[in-house]
Amino acid sequence: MKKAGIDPKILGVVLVLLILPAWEAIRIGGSISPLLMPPLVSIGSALLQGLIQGTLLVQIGLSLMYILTGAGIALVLAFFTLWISNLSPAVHHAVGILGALFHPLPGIVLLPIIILWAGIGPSAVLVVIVHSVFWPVLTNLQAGYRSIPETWRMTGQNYELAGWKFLVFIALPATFPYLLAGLRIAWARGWRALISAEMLFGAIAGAGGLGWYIHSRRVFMDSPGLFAGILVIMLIGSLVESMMFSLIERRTIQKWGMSL
Amino acid sequence: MTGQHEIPKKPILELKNISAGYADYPVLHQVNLQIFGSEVVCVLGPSGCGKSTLLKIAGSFLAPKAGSVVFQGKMVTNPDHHRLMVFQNQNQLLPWMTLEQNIRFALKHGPLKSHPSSWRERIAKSLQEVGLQNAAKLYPHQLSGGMAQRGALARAFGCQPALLLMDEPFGSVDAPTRSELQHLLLDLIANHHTATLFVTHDLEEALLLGHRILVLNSRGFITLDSRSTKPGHPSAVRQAMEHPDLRANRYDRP
Repeated sequence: MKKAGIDPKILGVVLVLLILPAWEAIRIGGSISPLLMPPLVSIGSALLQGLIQGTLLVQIGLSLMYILTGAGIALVLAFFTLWISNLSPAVHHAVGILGALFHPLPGIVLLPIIILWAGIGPSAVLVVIVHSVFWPVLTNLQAGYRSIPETWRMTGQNYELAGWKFLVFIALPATFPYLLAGLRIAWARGWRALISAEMLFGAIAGAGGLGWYIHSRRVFMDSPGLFAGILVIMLIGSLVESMMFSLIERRTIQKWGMSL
Repeated sequence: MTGQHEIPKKPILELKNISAGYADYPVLHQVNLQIFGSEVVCVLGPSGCGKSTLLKIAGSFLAPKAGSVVFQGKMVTNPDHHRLMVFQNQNQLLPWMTLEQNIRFALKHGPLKSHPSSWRERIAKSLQEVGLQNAAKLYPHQLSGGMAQRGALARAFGCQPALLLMDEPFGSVDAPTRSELQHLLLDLIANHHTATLFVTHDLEEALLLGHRILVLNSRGFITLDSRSTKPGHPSAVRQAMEHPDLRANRYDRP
């Protein structure tokens, strides 16, 4: 029997349409307190209010700014490390060993140390993001660099591209599929680490961001606001994942026939 | 085609006493080779005999263990755009650029660095020469194997190099396409008078393209004097096939 092709978009809509009434049914059927399971209407209005009044919008902007700044710093550091690790095999191996040690370390477990070293506040959040983004990007860049075909290397040499010119004109586009894969992992890790760090630092210093927003909703027992914050984190996460990265892939490596 | 043309007295490329390989596995041993302007030298030999190593050394992609490479009268140690390599690999055009952009890239970093105004005309001309004028905006992965090799030829000849280094460039396409590409290369070489070092394991290809045919074996080169025969003529092919050294080389290697 032939399997019926299900459009994932339709499936998504159906899934949401099933979850929403189920939520209401459980809430009303079990006469659960609105503090534990707030009505959908109040979650929706909390979301709208937060967006219209700007309190939620400001925190979204802050979180995105944190992650973009952190990712930017991490990217520059990763390219720099790739460059110095190409200088000698010893440096390359040293970087590899450091990567093996630090890559599996969740950013959030570094927090106690970061608090001691960098204090609390935005700089500590940035350190967590840089850590979460740097290692996956670096390991992918190194793997990509090693897999540049010999013909492209020799083509670059033939047109006398050496040093930074080789990196920019040959190595960067040639490793782009790997860079994108690294960024996908980095985003997933960085976004989670960011929200956790914001919740923690928000509690201490009011550093702000979506994590802090959720934390403050909890303090005020504002359950609808809490769920609204969770929805926003979910939406932004999957929008970046499924729209931004997919769009970049279609415009670059898919168009070039370079998909991994 | 120009037929029998004058071959200059001074070599454009000279390999002097080249040795390469590993201590317990020498690939090339004291090989000498001179290539003169506008001649096509074909190097034959079974795989593993060091043909590709020879090409890489001729292009300065690989440093020989002993010996020197002299190009246009100067000792050279780094690759340059006057000695361009054409590979067998159909992946040699850079995939993130269209065919046209690939040629522009070569001109921009190669011979026409300071003449951006002439890029457009040169690109059009070299695409025209290989019959790909309608494929300018295509990405390499959209080209067939034969088209990709035409594109590689367009990029190389567009730069008007003094010497082409070709590593079995038509080895991975089907027979009719190979024949088409061989005749295209003959036309291109005749028009550009480009000296060419052409590595192949296909004797008929060597007889069709080469002004001079060399066989590489463990003792160095054996020369087949193709000028005493008519290149491309069936009897010449047969005669070369019967050459005792080449036969030994083809069938008796471990």
